[in-house]
Amino acid sequence: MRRIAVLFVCLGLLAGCKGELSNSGTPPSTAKNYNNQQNNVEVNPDVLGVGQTGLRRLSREEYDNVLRDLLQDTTRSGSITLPEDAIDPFDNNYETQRASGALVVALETLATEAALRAMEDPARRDAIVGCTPSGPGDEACFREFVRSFGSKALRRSLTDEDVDRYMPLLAFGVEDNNFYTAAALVIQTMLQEPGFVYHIEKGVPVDGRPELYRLTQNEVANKLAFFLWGSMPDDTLRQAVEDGELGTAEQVRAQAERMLQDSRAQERMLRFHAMWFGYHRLNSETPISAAMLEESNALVRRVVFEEKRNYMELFSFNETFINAELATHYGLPQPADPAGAWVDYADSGRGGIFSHGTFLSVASKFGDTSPTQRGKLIRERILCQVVDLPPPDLNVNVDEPPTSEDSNCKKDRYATILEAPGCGACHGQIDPVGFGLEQYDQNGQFRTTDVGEPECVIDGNGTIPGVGDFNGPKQLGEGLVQTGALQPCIVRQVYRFAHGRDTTFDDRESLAELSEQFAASEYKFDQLLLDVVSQEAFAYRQVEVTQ
Amino acid sequence: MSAKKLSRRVFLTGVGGTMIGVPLLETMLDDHGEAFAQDGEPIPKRYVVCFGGHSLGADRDDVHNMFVPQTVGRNYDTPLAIEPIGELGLVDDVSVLSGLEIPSAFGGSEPAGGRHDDFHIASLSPLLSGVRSITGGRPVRGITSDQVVAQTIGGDTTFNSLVYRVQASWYLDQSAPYGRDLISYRGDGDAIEATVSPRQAFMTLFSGFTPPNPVDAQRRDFLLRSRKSVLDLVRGSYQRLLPQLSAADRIRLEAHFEAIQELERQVNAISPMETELCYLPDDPGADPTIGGNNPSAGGDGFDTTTGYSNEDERARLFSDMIHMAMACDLTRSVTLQYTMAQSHMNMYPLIQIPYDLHEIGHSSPRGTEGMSQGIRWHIGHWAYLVNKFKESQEVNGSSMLDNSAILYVNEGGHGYDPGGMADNSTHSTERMAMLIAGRAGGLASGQHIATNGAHPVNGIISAMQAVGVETDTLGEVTGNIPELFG
Repeated sequence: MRRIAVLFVCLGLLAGCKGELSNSGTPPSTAKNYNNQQNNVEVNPDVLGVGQTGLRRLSREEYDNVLRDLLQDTTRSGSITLPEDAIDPFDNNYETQRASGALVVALETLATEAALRAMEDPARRDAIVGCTPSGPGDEACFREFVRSFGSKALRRSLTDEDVDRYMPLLAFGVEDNNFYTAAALVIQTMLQEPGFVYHIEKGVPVDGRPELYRLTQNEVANKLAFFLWGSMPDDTLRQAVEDGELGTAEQVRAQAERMLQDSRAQERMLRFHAMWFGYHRLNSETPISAAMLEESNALVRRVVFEEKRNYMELFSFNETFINAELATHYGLPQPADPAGAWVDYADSGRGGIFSHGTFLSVASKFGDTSPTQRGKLIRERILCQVVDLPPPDLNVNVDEPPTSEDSNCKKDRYATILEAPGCGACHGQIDPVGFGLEQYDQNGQFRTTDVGEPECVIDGNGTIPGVGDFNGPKQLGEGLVQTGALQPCIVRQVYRFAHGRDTTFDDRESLAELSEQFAASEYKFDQLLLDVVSQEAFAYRQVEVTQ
Repeated sequence: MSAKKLSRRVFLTGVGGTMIGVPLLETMLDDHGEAFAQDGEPIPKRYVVCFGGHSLGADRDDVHNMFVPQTVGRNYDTPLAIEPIGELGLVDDVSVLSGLEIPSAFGGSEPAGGRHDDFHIASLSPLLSGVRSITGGRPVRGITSDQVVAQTIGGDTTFNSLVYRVQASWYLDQSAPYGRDLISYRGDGDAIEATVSPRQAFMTLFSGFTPPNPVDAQRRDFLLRSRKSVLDLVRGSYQRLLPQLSAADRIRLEAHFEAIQELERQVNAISPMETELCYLPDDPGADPTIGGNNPSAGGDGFDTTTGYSNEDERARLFSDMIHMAMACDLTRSVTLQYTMAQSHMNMYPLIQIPYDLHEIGHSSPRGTEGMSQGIRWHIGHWAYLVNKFKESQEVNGSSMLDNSAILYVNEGGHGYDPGGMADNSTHSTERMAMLIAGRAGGLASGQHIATNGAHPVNGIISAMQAVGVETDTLGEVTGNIPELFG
């Protein structure tokens, strides 16, 4: 792996752009590569770009996906019963997860009910159990079921000793004169076990690097599947592990290419974008919101999967997929098919995903758009900058819209913040970003005057300090792409999601390498995904140091 | 206690009279006013803290609230926000404390039991634990009263405490609740996550009931034995994995392991005996669907169909289950959070005002009247819970409410905001108020007590004392409200 200089650029932004990276020493570079026979993986003691990580557990979304793939259970019961995940911006960050009594009781209830459901339908039951018992006490069939189901549910192969642990449950089948009573108890047990609930990564120790571990092939398979599918590995991937064919970057990449063809990968990446831009829980009950979600999903599908376009087009694309109702809502030409078709934005000022009602709905406040919240959204989520909270010694009420003695116009009212002592330094970096989208309200509709203030004309002019002036969503997207401000953040957000944690200083070489590869691929998003999973650092973990 | 106490039910059966309206006889109380059941076991005391994530008025409205009665003392009036107390005839059962205040830093350092000037969520720590907050947006810094009570009077109940939340989701896109969803703490920053699913609560509380039918009872015994075997295997898996993990991951997984041990302890507990007071409640069925996020906080174009998960139904279900869990003595301390601090729950389905709860206080044109409608929804459910306790008769003939203290506290008051430097603000902990229902330990219910700036924790300490915690202190706050015992 090449070493590349740190690419983190603060974009010349002053206050509010805090470097979140801390320093650390250079890793030792002594021992030679060797092949670990037992796990059949190459271990490189000189590997770079591996940040610290910790024990991660299934998100609610992952839980429901796994039940679907493991038990053909489509109830999505986890999202109703498990404690809510913090989504900031992604739902799989181990640092925000809490092991609580509420979690444990929910897992028990969910496991018990999923196990019973799995045994209800004979066809489904037989597919899960995999053998036909000769009677309620059929030990051989039970043993086979425990081993084969367990290796899927617990996402590792089971030893004889492992299998033995479950054998006493068969007595309940005998007592109940029903083999499947015992089988259900096995499922009920496994769905609560750490191998199911958590992404267990132990790995192989790296000589001379006590904090570093090389993941086993099986652990790589699990990490890969949850990143690309949000679910467990399929039979093909598990077979690759069994055959020892997931030990090299090329092998991992080949599997990932295969997996990206699956609809699960599309679903996963649609969700990635929805969480990233903040519209993941836009109410899909109303027809207009549902149409907006479909609009954004259609664009992501087209750019990323169907046409594999330069990903930067996502932020400036000149067509949008809308139905008749949404076209009327936006004031755009009607689509050829009222149920939905691609419509040209022409010179409407719209272009790319920032023009969508989904994105525009996200950062509102006080019953209107909030230039501050939108600016914060763009600075934090789209540019990966750190926007500080107001300093504690400053008297602020962030729950009150600003007021001005001279004018009711929003721009004038927000201008008072810029003039207030101690406020302007930060708000000057945030609010002008949001004002560039002011002509688009929180429903994505175009407007030229303030709500209820027809004399207050909105000019739609905005500025991103260090990037430049813009007016409207299309210019915003184009400006961010042209100045190169966007690309490193895209890489970083994908990396966060892939590794289930925030980035750290120790990830810098990995991020830099990915940024370079992303550019070299002419910004193909699927190539970025493949580069992430075939990167050497993907197969390593650095354990946290405890005080 | 020497002589066997006379059971009112036995007494009534003996004279063949009706059970309604018979006063509690002195002979059924011991020297300290403690109630005893027929078998000499004391009637358990119960403690419930209910919380609303709102202040009492609206910004810029000079009406501070429609919560505090005009009249002081007994037979107080019930303004809009607490109307349900009057409607259910609970004025004699509920005391209102007004004029409460959590002191603010006012630009300096935070005083003992006080709060940081930045409002959300700086009032939670002093309100719930009596320990000052030293910054905004951070968790509670000390043990909360429900946990002190649980440790003191929980005894060998199956559930040392229960923590439930009605608001099912945070409902905002761009952030996470970061502590606004947590109001029960074992200690500084050590939060207890709430159960949000009514269905889950039902399964946890009532799966231990022994059915009267012998066939059903046999089946239940089978299921219980298999459940214990499953949990034994699950615990074993965590136990085996723990030593193989890095130190940091071991700490994470130990928390999970300990929660499994606690669950096993609950499953192994003796199942409740069905009595007239304690019985298996109706199965609540599937949980209401969880609604989407609020794209806007309120006003023009507010989507009134999202940001709501039928919290009305959820609140009723939790009230029913809390009542029964306490009637069965499964627990003696409960925390019920109706709404998160700074609640972004859509209030339109409840009160037809197109704003989330937080935004009603800040920018709804309805002002304090609109805010009071929002509070009234909370108090309606609280009064429903209180009334269920009132209508439930203990084995000695007293009502459950006679042996309980049920509190209603909320996030703020109305007045000066030292953060935003504004008067008539919701971001204020001046003019706070709280409600205490019940007569446990001699609490004098049915009064409006206008305090002169007492700390809300003084009220909480009074309720803690009433249920048997011998303390005069919670966190950095000392002293009770003497009138509550007068």
